[in-house]
Amino acid sequence: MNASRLGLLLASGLLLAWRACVKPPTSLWQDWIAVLGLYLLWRPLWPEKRGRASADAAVASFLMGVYVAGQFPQAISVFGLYP
Amino acid sequence: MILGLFWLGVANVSAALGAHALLRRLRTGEPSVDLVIFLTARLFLISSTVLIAGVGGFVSGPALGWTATIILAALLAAGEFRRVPRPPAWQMPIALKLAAALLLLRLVLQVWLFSPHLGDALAYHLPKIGEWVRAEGFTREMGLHPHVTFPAGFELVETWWVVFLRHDLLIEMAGVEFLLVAYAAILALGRRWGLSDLERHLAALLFVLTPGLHFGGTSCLNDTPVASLAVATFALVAYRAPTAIVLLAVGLGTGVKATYVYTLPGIVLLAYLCRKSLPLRASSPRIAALVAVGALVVGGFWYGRNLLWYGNPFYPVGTPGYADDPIAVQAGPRLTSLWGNFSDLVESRFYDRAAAYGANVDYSAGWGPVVFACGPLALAASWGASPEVRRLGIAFLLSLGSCLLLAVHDPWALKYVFFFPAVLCLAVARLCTTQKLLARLVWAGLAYGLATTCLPYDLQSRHLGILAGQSWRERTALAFTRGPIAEPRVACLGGFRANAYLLYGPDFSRMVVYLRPRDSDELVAEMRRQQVRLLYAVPASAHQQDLLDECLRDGRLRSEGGAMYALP
Repeated sequence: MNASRLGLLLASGLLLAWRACVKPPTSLWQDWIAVLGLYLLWRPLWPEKRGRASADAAVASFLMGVYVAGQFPQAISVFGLYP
Repeated sequence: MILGLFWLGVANVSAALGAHALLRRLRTGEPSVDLVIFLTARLFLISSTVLIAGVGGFVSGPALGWTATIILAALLAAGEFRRVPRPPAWQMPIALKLAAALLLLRLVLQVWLFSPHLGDALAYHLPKIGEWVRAEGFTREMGLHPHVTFPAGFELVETWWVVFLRHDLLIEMAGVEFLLVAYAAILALGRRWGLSDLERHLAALLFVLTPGLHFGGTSCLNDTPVASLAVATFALVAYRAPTAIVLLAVGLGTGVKATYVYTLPGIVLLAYLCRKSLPLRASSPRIAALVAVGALVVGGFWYGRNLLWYGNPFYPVGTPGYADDPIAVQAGPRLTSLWGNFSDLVESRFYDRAAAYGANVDYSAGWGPVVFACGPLALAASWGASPEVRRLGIAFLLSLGSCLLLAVHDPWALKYVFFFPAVLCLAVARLCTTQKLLARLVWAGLAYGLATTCLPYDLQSRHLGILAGQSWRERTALAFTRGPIAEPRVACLGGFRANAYLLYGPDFSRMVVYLRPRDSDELVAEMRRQQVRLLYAVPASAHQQDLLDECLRDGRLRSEGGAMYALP
């Protein structure tokens, strides 16, 4: 394992630990840092290329869903479609 | 009006051809850097022209139009137009070309239909343009907002877009010019990262569609110009462009807003990290040095003026009592601001769920869905892949940190870091090269971005209906709250909440008299002396409120509805 991967592992481990300390466990699933930290902890261990692209897209799709669920009501409010 | 359109056309062709003539002397040989230099040189020529006209007292359509005509004639006589190259043949798929064309078309529509509407612009940035256009030169009177003395580099470009028509119909074009600079800067950074044309244009589109930056381009605020010039400076430094050319961007950026300076630590670090790369050279180092000096003068002008007028280049920052002002900006670094801004960014504002998109990004970051969902992931995934990615990533992070350290912790602080999503957009585009599934998600995010950046929260569909229902000559956001003002003169009392710019009218035909009375007698006496019957008052202090109440109680003023009052 090269230094860059080791650094990434360490950083994601620290991020996860931080979020676990400051956020209630029930809300961690929609915390972007926790989701990303968990994924990046696991990503370097994944065999090169095999399935990684699908996993990247899955994580990004999940985060996109979290974002849109919160932002969409605001986005349509400017068109008078949301109270 | 026809003559105004003619002057506008001639002046813009002249500025573009002049910028091209300048580019031939500054050319580095790297096409993507040369495009950034061309656009920045055009802004430099426009800014310096309006600055000279402002000092010289000839800010008028005919005066600037004739000047531009003479310059254009000289450029044509020198055969400059024959040296203009063909536009580059970028290799892009049709879908991306369509998205770019759609975005451009929508920007044109936004410029046409939008009218200055955002509180900060109406109270602080634009009243000075009203004064300059009416007086045909710079004036000491610039309005009642405490920040009217701040640098006005962006207002120079806005003045350019209003002076020929003597109308603010196209004022948002100034912001669009800076969005183009941002686009070109991303193309250059993408090339530095070795991205293909497709990936570079995808990154650039993603960046200019980040909601905060995008709406900043059509809201007459100067945070988008600052972000664009910051990214342009990063691009020039990443390529090791000559120092004089980097100073061209630094000079313009410093003159737009002091928050540009907050990004410099990262830019300096990037220069250090890239010190071993092959440097670019300007075709004429002497002309480049002259342009650098000119840009520093243009940028430094406002600080020098404030030093001369008030004895403080950053006036009113640092003056006694200023820190207690409700809208005071922070002077110097503050660790509590760093922590507050950072913690708000990562805990809540990154989600953009507290408010609809807008240029002021209230309690939000305004970075959009693609940056949120894919940006950090893509940057982390690309981190080990290339030293160029790491250098730029570290430099952007340092600039982000220094901005968060120096910007006051308030609901709008993240408008000062609109530049940061640039590195995330580049990383996303880079990752899309190898990941088709992710690329599809990014396209979906791009479509979401296009659909949700039609209207900002402070210009909702009903407001747009009102604007579109007016003829272009009369189009004004004043109609959101009241009917047209018949008086040729209006007095204004207030401060940071008084939308004074709307009083001038879109064609600057109305005189605005700013009042700073000590008591109610002086308020009425000054109105009578100036022969003004109508008063627009939005008191900014308990003292101003008392004056107004006293006049209303005594019958010396009567309410006309809203914030309007009249002498009996």
